[in-house]
Amino acid sequence: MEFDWPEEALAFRKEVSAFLDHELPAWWDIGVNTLTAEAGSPHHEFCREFCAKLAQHGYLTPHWPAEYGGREAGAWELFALTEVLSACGDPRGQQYMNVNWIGPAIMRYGTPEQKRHFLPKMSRGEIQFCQGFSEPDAGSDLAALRTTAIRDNDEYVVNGQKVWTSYALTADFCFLLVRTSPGSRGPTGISVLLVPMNLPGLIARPIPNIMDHGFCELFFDELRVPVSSRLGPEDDGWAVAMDALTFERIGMARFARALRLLDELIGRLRRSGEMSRPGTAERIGRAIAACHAARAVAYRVIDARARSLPPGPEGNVARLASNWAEQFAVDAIFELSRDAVETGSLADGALRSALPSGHATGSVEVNLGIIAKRLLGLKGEA
Amino acid sequence: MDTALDGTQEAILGAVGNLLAKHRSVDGSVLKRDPEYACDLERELAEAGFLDVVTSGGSYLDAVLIAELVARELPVLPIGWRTILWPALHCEVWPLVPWKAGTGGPVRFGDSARGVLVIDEERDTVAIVDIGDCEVRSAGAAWGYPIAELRPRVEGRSLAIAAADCMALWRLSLAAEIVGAAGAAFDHTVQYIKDRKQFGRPIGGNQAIRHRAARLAVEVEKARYLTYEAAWRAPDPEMAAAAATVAASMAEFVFQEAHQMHGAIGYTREFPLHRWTMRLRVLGKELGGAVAHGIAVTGAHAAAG
Repeated sequence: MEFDWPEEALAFRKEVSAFLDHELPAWWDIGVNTLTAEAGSPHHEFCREFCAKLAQHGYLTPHWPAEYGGREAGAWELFALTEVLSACGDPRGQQYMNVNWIGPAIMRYGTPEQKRHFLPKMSRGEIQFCQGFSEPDAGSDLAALRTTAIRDNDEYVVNGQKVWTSYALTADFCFLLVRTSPGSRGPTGISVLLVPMNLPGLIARPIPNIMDHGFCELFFDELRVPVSSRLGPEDDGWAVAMDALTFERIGMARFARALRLLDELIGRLRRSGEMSRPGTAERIGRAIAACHAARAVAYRVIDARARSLPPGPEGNVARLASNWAEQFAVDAIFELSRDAVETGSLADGALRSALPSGHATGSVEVNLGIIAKRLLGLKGEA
Repeated sequence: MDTALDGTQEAILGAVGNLLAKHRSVDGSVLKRDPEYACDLERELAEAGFLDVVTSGGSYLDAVLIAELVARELPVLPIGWRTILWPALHCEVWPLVPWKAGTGGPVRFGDSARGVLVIDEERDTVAIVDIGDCEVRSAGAAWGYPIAELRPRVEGRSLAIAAADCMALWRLSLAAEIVGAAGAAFDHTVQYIKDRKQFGRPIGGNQAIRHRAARLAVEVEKARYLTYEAAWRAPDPEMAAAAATVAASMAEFVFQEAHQMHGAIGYTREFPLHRWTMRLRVLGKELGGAVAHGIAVTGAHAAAG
């Protein structure tokens, strides 16, 4: 056991940090999480352009194989990149999920034509996906999804509804889970479709929310897509989706962003002479410690990935540790900032953007259930 | 970066485990009211070289792994101080109790010590005071360690080590012992909820218990891996204080949850759980507990810029 970062990852971290210091504009505000920035906001527009710039410098898909626009950077370099980008509010915006798991899923399951069509553009930061997973009656129990895609010669006819679809208004394509086997239930009979967002029969409506996040609901009404837009085998798309999600083992480095926000808070409280207020140093210190702990358990996940080991429950531990560290940190920031309830303040952005972390990547309770079963060996209800 | 034990670490822990098994006594499952310092075990561990790995080619991480394993067995031995703090002092006096200047209250092993290590962070001085130059008042051993209040009467002989380094190594040793004792208490609890049946099935099958056990697992893992990383970066003051912070809050959490999940059997003297949990509270509040460690994290973090 040892905890030295690989040299190339340290060097890469330094390089990307320097690039971001130089390239992020002065108005860039780390308090605004790009993932929750409103569609059409300056942050959001900026992300799209910035992804192209990241791509030019090899910072968008360094972990991809050379033939698709990467250089097969290792797991530690990718982790360093994730930490550095997360720390400054992730200027990739929604693109992070394309490069981390949708792209790799197309590499593994795509036809030669799909690979040619999607991967170079994704690697250049030119196209963005949203994910059509949740439905009104299929949340944590995702396999209860009911949206259908019925085969009609060489087309699928899609009918149904998706909900909580982030970024649907700005996405070019949807990674869509549908039921292709009529009457099937549970994880069998599901397929993955890669659907353009601009087709007739697909309507995206924003869902106003307290995070001002680009949540949408999608309605499919006799939407026709060619059979060639299916990713992977028909009726076996559940395995494709689950496998795809394992490409991204820890998700966003929420603890890294929380640490950066805490630094910002410390700077402000020092300038205003408030660091010595009772309880301040304690609360901040405990939040910093929680962030360090979240990083320490994430090391195990990255280590497993670097060694090509199958993902285990340590990933669920790392996710929860990261989510809770962020919650602890934003609660501290909100409590300790005088201007917390002012719209657009650091604390306002921090708290609101951290809100969905307990649901966005599988609910806390689903993660706890997996830990109980797979790490502790407890039999029983999830 | 490698988060699994290497061959040498496995061999060391295997050998330490054998030694501990040899010393495991029949009545070891009960917390003694008049605990005796484990002189024989300490001597054998020292003779085999396990207490001085830091100064004989090993790392602080190796020392932390040893301290964690020994703390699981709960011998009456300040294993963290001995393996992690003491080697850095290059002094002859042992047992030696670290003591933070300006703080009061009883400390572990206060009446077993030959000397007191007085750490003054404000003046950045570290000194050794012979036990003969201290007032010592015994404070019992209800919480699993012999406890005494100390009051050094003289300044003592100064040591050439920074006060901050001493504090970092102290916090690291504390975190290592908490991770050991809490890890054992937690493992015991997981086994108990698998075995204990009510309403015709193991209580660990109930979601209310499963989720709470999983939360505990996350906290134990966080403290464990942060302590390992802090050991690798020792004597980094921020990492050591962070490890102590997370470990001390986890100690409280494990204490409450382990006892709640065990029910009344957990606080009987015939059942071994209390051996770990009682000690967890002593360890959890040493040096002021998570509150004081948290303040130290902020101090070190701000100082590092």
